[in-house]
Amino acid sequence: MNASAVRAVVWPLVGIVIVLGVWQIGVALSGVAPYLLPAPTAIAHAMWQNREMLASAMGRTALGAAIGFTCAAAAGILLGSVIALIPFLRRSLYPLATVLQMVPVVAVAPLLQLWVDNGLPMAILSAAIVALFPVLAATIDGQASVDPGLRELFKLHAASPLRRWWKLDFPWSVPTTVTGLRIAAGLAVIGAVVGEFVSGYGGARAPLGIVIQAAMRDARTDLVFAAVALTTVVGFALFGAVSLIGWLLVRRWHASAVNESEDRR
Amino acid sequence: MWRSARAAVATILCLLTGCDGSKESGSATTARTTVRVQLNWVPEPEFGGIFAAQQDGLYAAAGIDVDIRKGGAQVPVAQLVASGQADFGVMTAEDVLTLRDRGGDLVAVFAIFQDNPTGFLVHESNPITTLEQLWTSSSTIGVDANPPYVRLLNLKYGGKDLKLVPYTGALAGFLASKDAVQQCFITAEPVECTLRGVPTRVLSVGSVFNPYAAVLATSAASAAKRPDQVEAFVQATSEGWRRYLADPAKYNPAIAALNPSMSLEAMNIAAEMERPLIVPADGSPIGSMRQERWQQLERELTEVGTIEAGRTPATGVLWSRSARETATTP
Repeated sequence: MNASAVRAVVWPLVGIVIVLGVWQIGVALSGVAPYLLPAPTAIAHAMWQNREMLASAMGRTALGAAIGFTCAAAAGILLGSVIALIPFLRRSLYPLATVLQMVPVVAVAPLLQLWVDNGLPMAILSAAIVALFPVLAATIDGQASVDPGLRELFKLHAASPLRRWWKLDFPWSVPTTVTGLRIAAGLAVIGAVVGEFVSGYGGARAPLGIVIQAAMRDARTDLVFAAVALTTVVGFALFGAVSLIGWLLVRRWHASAVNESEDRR
Repeated sequence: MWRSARAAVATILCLLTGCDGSKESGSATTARTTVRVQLNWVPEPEFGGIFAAQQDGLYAAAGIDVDIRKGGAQVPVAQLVASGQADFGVMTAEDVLTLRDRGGDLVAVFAIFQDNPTGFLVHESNPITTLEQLWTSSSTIGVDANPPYVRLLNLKYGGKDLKLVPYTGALAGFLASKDAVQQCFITAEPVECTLRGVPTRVLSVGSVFNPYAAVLATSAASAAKRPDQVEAFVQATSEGWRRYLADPAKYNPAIAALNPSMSLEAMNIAAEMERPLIVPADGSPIGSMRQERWQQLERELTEVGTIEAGRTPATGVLWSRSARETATTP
């Protein structure tokens, strides 16, 4: 690992350690009740004591978020490409697509429950709904901002629209789409947990959303924090995976990746 | 500073969970004090006596301005009361003992329900007629996340094939499916269903788990500092309940105006249904509590693992005149 990569890991860790340290000392000095704000060590203890239950809950939430995200990514790129390719659709459907972003998933989740099964299907649908728009918008914007000169070149060579899409529009939009996918990755986890709040299974099959609800009603604030921390772990994992795939796709040619490696030198 | 930090944390909790803290209190400039009463659900006849006491000016006559705050499915009432964000809160008896076990300093001052109105609502066509049949079936049940009575039923009947999903308070899902089962207050959802022409049956939870189901609690430390106010609040609330149960139709319109999801007609029926659950069978005053019922609850909560045996004994849970006298003795 080179020096810059070490720096990229060390500095965020330092930040985390400082925040947790201030939190721990603040809780100890203030005497704030643990049912209001537990110390980081109490949260870590709750996490360890319930590790098996939390691990299986995290697995379920991750599964819902990942499948929902994948569906949203596929649908967003496909739909976005079609909308970008056909000017009529861009004018008529794009404004409608923005409505999708305005829909508060918390408000529609009870409705969705009437249409799909409880448990995983509901988490997937809820995750996919919130993750769709960023992918769709990024894909459309990316493909709509192709260099007009290059478009002319394709026209000059009488390329079919599909060929132009495959050789020009789609590759051109990849960096923008990856940015949309990264935003969608974080949102998918939120969507999955909201879905779980209304229809996740309790008992041994509980995902993180249900663990949070049960711990909250039991006044186990330490366990609530532990479960919330694990939802962020799921979000980071999804975000990291998307970032890695995006970087692998564009590292050889796109300015964002090339500049970064220049900076490192 | 740390007090304000504590208040900030409680406020954040409140914001996250959507409780109604919009009304600023503490603006009293005279000797009158504002008392914040946090409900654990939207305004319904289960809080009738509190609204009646306010409507008839009983609190005002006792020198208290009461700010009634509506609750919802995720409002952490016990935490809000213990942290001083509310002066009194309506919560279940198990909430009181659970938060005491976690270090919260709560005492119970008044029991609204002597008997547990919680039950499971099934369609009349559903062949399930007992809790045992329900708990050994593979039904999907809308129920709060792992409450003590679910754990008790699990201990008793297993419940391995059940599919438990969150209770959202909405009836739409129940009405849409003939096989649906969800938790209910026998005074609320079944009445709504009847009015909509949907025949239902309620499997009462009271036979396996019967604590005081809605209790007014306050922080022990703050009650010790203002025993007269606690006493006055309890007296006014008790009189409010007496008046409400005598003539619920007089008070329900004001409650219905605060809760568009339950009709006035349903509220009038609910008030009649809740009367036997509220008025003590032994003739003692409305709101009375007996220590042995709290100790039984303590045993049950210990059995299902909600609280740890002996950590905070239930013996100190009742706020009483003697506690008041101890507090006021210099």
